[in-house]
Amino acid sequence: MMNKIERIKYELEQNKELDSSLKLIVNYSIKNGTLIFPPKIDDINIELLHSQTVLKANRVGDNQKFAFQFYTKYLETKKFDLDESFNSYSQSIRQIEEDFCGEKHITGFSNLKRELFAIAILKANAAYGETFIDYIKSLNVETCEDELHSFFGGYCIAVSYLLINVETFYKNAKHLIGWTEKESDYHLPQGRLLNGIRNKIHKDSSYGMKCFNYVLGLKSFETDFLIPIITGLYDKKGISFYNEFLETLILDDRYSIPIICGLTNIGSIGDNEAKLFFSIHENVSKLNTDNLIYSSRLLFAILNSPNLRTELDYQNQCAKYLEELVMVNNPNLIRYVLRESEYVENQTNALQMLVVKLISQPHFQAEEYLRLIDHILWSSKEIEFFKQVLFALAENCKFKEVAKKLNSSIHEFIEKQKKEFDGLLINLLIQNQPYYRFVGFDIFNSLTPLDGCYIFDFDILTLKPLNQYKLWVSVLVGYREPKSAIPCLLPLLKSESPFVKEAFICKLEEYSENYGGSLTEVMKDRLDLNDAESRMVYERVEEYMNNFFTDNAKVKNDIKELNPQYSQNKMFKDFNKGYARNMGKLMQKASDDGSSFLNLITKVQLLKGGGWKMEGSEDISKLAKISSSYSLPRRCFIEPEHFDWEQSKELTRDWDGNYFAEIKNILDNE
Amino acid sequence: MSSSDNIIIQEYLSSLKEDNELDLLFPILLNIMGYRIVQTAKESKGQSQYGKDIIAIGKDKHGIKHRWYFELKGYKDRDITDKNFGIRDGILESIREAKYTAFSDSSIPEFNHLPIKIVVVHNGILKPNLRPTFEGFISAEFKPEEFERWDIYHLTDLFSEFLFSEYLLSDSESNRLFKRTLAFLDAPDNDFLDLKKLIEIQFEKVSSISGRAFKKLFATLNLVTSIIFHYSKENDNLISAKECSDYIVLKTWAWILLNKFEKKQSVLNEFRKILKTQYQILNSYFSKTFGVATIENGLYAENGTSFEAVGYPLRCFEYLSDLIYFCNLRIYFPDFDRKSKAYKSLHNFQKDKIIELVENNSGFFRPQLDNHSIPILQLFLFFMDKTTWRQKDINFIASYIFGTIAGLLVIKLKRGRFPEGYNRINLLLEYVSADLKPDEYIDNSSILIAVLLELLVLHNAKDTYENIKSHIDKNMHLQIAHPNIDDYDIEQLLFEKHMDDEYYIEGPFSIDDNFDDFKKKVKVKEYSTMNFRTDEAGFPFLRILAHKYFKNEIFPFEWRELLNE
Repeated sequence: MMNKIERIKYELEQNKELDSSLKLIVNYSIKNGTLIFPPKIDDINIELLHSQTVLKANRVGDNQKFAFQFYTKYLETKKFDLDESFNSYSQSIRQIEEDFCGEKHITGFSNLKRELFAIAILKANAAYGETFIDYIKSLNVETCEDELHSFFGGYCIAVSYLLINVETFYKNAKHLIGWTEKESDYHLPQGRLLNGIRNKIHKDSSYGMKCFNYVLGLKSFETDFLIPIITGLYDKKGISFYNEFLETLILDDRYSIPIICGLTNIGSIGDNEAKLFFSIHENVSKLNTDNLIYSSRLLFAILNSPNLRTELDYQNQCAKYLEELVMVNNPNLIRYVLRESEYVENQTNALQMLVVKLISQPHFQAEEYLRLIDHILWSSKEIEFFKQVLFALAENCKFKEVAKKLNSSIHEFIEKQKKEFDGLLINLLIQNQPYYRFVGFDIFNSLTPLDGCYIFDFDILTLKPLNQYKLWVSVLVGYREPKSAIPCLLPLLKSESPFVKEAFICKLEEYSENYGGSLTEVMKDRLDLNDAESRMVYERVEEYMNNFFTDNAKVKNDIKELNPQYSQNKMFKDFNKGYARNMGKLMQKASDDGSSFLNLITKVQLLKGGGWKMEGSEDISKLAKISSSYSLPRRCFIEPEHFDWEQSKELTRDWDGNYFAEIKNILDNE
Repeated sequence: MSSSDNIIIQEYLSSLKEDNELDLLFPILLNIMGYRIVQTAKESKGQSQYGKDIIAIGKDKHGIKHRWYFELKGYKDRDITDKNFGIRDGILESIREAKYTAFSDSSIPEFNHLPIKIVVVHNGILKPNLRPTFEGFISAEFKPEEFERWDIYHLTDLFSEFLFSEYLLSDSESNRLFKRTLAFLDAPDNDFLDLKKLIEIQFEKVSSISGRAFKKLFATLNLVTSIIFHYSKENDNLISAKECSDYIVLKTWAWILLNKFEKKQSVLNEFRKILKTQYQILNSYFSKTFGVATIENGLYAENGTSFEAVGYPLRCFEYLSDLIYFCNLRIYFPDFDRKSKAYKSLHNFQKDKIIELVENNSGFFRPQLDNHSIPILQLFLFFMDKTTWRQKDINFIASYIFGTIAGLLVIKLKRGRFPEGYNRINLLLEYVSADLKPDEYIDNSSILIAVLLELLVLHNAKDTYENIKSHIDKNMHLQIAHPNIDDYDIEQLLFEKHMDDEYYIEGPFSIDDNFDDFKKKVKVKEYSTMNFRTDEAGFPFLRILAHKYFKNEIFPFEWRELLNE
C-alpha cells in the first residue's frame, strides 16, 4: 500500500510541470519569507498552481504538496541530522521555522507547520518505524505547547497512513484523546483525531477488526477510541457488521454509548439504518435513561441523512421520539435536542411542534432554553412557527421578558418578513390576556431604538376600530417617550372611526401633560402639517399643552418658597450628588457590558462645568440637561412609586369581560 | 451707637413700604415711646379716615398731652416732592383732611378735649425745591405746636434711641449677630443660629417684667421679626421670616413659662403683639403660596426632577404643619385672647381649604420619615373637633388615613422601604438617590405605623387593617412614644427643644393578627392626660407650633381620648 508521501511523490513525478512550478514557488517562498504570492512571478506558472489548488487566492492552498516540496527543499539545503528518534525530525522543523520566519510572524506558517509535521511523522515512520509513543509522552503543554499543537495536527493528518501495531496505535490514541479531553488546557480538536482514526480503519478493515477485538479484550478501555472504529467498520462492512458483532454487544452498558456514537457518524444512512436506529433507540431508552442523550443522536442522524430527507414518515417518527425525550426533565438532553434541531435542514411541522410542546412543560426554563429556541426559529424562518412559540411562551412563562433571548430570530423575521412580523406583534399587543400583551410589549420595546421609534409595516387602519383603540391603549400604557411610542400610532389620526380618532387625540393631550414639548415636536416631525386635518390636531394638542403648563407649571416659577433650590437646598444638592453618582455607576455598568450605546459615543471631557456652546448655536447647553439622553413622564417624578405600581397593574390587567364594553358599545353605534 | 449702626437703621427704614410695613412698625415705636394707640393704620385702611393712619394719645416734648394724628407716607411717597404734594389725593390734601375732619372717641373721656397734633411720618426726605412751598403751607394752616414732620433722619434717631440702642445694637455681640442675621438671611438652608443666639442674649438682659426694659424687650423681639419679615419680602422668599418668627414665638413662650408669667396680662399683651406679627408673616406666606399649592400637585416642584421622589412629600408635610398652625392662629385672630365668634364657619372654611390642598397633592399620601406622624396627627386632630364635625370631614379623614397607608405600602412594595425610623434625612436621600438601602437605614421600627393602626380603630377599618397586616413583617417593632411626665417638665421642654430621652416607648409590639382583638386592646390602652398651662393661658395653638417646630411626637392622649369617646 502506498503511503501518503509516496503518493505525493508519484503524483509529482507524473506531472513534471507541476513539480517544477511547485519547486520554483517554494524557492520563491523561502527566498522572500512569505506564503502569500503576487499574481505574477517570472518563470513560475501561477495559473497551473491555482488550477492544481496548490495556490488559492495567492496563498498556499494544498498544503500537503507544498509542504512536501518545502520540507524536501530544506532537507536538500540544510543538513539535518535525522535519526530514529522523532526528536531529530521535530528539531529539523524548529530549525526550518527559525530560518524561514526569524523573528517575524508569517501568515499561513502555522498551517504549513502542521503539514510539515505530518510529512515528518510519515518519513520517520517509514524510515525508522517510529511509533511516536515515547515522543508523545515527552510532550508537555507547559513547556512545548506550540510543538504539541503542531504535532497533534500533523498526527491527525498522517494517522491513516501510519504503519504501527494495534497496541501502540491504541496507546497513542488514548494519550492524544486524553489531551483533547483537557480542553481548557490544550484546546485540541478531538474530532480531527477521531476522523483520522476512522479513515485508517475504513482504509484497512482487517486492521480495524484487530483494533476492534483488541479493545474488546481490554478490561477497561478508552471509549472515544472505539467510536471511530465502529464508524469505520460499519462504513466498510454495512449492517452485517452490526448484526454480527454489535447487536448483542450494544446491550452491554460498557459498549452501548460508543456503539451508538459510532453509528451516528456513519457516512450513509438509508432505510436499513433508520430502522436499525429506531430499534436501538427504543431498546436503549428502555434500558438506561442515561443513554437517552446518545440515542437521540441516532434520531438526528436520521433527520440529517440526505437519503431520508424526503421520507416524511421517518421525520415524523423521529419528531415523535424526540418529543418523548423533551417531556423528561433532563436539561442536558433538552439542550442537546434543541441544539441539534437547529441544524436539521428540513424542519417539519412535527419537529416544530416539539418546541411548542417543550415550552408548555412544567420543567421548561426560559433562561436555559430560549437562546437555543431562538436559533431554531432563526433557521426555520416560518412566521407561523414563530407565532406558536411566542403564544406558548406567553402562556407558560407569564410576564417573563423573552425578547432579548429571541433577538436573532426577531431580527431575521424583521429583515425578511417584516409585514407579517408586524401583524404578529400587533396581534400580541391587542390581546385581552395581559400575558400575551406583555410579550408584545417586550418585543416592541426591544425593537425601539434608544433615540428613535419602531414603525409598523402592517397597515393598522385595516384593524377593526376596537382593535385600533386597543392598540394605542396597549402601546401607550408604559408611558414611553413620545419619540418612541407615538410615531407608530399616528396613522390612527386617519382612522375611519371618529371615536377612535377623538379618543387617541385626547390621549395625546394627556400625554402632553407628561412630556410637554417633546410630544409636539414628534408630531411636528411626523405629521404632514400641510394636511389641514393633521395640522388641526397638532394645533389642538399644542394649545392643550401650553394651557396645561401655563396653569400647572409656570405659575410656580416665581415662588421660591416651594422651590427646592431655595427651601430644601442642602437636601436637593445632596440628593442630586448621590443620584448623579448612581447614574454614573449604572452608565459605567451598562458601558462595561459591551452592548451599550455608550460604546458608540465619543467621550469628551469638558474642563469647565458650566456647559458648552457649539458653533452656530445660540444657547449654552448646560451639563445637567444632558446628563441623560432620555426623558421620563412628569408623573414619574411626581409619584414615582405609584407610577411604577400603576404601570405594573395596567400591564397585568385582564381585558376580558366588560373591560371595553362601553367602548365597543360606542363603536357599534358609530 | 456707631454711625454704621445708624446707617443700617436708616437703610432699613427708608426701604419700608407704607401699606404693610411702616404701618406695622410705627406703632411699635409709638408704644415704646409711651403713646397710647387709639387706632392703627390696619383698622383704618379701607375706611376713609381722612389722613389719620394712626391715632394716639401722648405727650409732646413740653410734657403736654395731645391727641396725635399720624399720617404715614412711605414707599413711593416716602419723599415729599412737587409731584406728590399738590396733586389730587396728594400729601397736601391729606394734611388738610386730617385737620378739618373730626375724629371723636367718647370711650376715652379726655380724648375729645385734647389739643390736636398732626404729624406727617415719612421714611424719606422733603425735597429742597419744595421746602419753601411746604413750609409756607404749614405756617399758613397750622400754629407751630399743631404740626410736625418726622422724616427719615428723625425716625432713625427715634428708632435708634428707643428700640435698637437698648437691645439689638447695645453690645458688640448682639450687634454682630444682628448684622449676620440680616446678611445671611437669604442663604440657602440657613439654620438661623445667629438669630437664635441673638434672641437668647436679649432674654438674658431682662431681669424683671416691671418697667420699660421689659416692654422694650418685647418691642425688640417684634422689631426683629418685622425686620426679618421686611427683608424676606425684599428677597422674595418668606421662608426665613416664617422660620424666625416660629423660633421667636416659641422662645418667648418658653421664657414666659419658665418665669411663670403666663397669667400676667401685661406680659401676655406684649406677647400677643409678637403673635400678630407672626400672623402677618404666615398670612403673607399662605397668600403667596396657597393658590398654587391647591392646583393639582401644586406643591410638586417642576424643577425638582428625581429629587421630588422625596422632596415633594417632605415639602407637603412641612406645608401641612405650617398650615394647620396658621389655621389655629387665625381662629384666635385678631386679639389672640379668644376663639373667633364665627369659629364654626371659619373652621369649616379652613377644613374645606385643607381638603382641597390634600386631595390635590399626592405627596401628602407618601410619608417618608417616621415623624411624619406629627403632621398626620395634627391633621387628624384638626378635623376631629366635635363642635364642627361634618360628614365630609369624617369621610375625608378616613380616606386620608387609608390613602396614606396605601401610599406606605406601595413604596414598600415598589422600593422596599418604610419611613426611616430615626428620621435621618441623609439616609433617606441616600436610599432614594441610589435605589439602594444603606446599612444604617432603619425601617423595622415605627411609631408612624403604630399610630396609623390605632387611627384605623376609629374608622372600624378592618379591611385596611388586614391589608397592611399582610405586608408588615412580624419583626416590625411597632411603638408609641409617651412623654415621661414624672421625670421631666414636659410642657416647658416642649417649647424649648427636640425631646428624646424625655419620651419613653410603649412596646415594642407586633401587629395583632385579629383586628377585633386589636381594637379591644387599643381602647383600654393607658395614657397620661396633661393639663397645660399654655392652654389655661389661652394659647393652646402654641403646642401645635411646638410639636411642628421641634419635631416632637404628638402625645398619645391627644388621639386616644378620641378613640375612647
